[in-house]
Amino acid sequence: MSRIDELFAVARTGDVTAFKNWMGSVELPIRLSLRRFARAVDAESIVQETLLRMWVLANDEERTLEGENASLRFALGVARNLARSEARRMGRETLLPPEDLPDIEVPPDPPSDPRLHGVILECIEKLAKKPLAALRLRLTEGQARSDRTLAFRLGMTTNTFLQNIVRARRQVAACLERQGITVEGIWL
Amino acid sequence: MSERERDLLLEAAASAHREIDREGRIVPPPAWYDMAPEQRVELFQLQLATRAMERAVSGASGTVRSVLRRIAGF
Repeated sequence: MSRIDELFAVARTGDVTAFKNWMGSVELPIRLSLRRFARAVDAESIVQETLLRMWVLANDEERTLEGENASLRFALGVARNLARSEARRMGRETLLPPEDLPDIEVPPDPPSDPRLHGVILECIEKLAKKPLAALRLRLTEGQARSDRTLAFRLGMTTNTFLQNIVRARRQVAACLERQGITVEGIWL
Repeated sequence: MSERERDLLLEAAASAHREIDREGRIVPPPAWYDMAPEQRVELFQLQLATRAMERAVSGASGTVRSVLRRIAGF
């Protein structure tokens, strides 16, 4: 049984912490599988909807999943179906990849770079005051509150808040690149 | 559209904050609808990098924390 299977098995007992760890293990493969749908749907919405549906499934005692990394494979199917369904609902079928295009294999447990998190934090800490405040607030609370609300808390207009984040992002990217890390390569 | 306008448009859709519509669906932010298909591909990469920074700062991505909030009923 893989680590992903073990986490999902514990999550099926209603353990939210196990489900959180399971999500942390499968989020990247699910997200990367949606790259080919990016022209037609918002990947972020699809990933969140997929994970919520997996929580419902985890709590359904009558559903069983079998095989290696079964929960991940099932979630990848949910994400693909949601993406196609959403694109059709919004009339964007022409932007979808062909139905018979094979799924791209994504490793369930992508290699991690233990140094990377530390380097990202170092680069963020070097930012000037306002870009630092905007980026830090966005990264820690952006999932729960709108940019307008976050901007208000910092005494900024939404536009200024976003400008500070763009500036911060450029500076962090330059800092990472000086250390041999490309923005496209960062995840874990 | 200038480069500055494009950057702001992309940034406005990069966070994991998503509203729910009347049918209970998680919906894209307003900025997403204003993007050309090629810009949505750029957004995909920006979201990927943003989730990585969130993990570095908070230990979990904004996506995971957003789903946990919804599970908890917020």
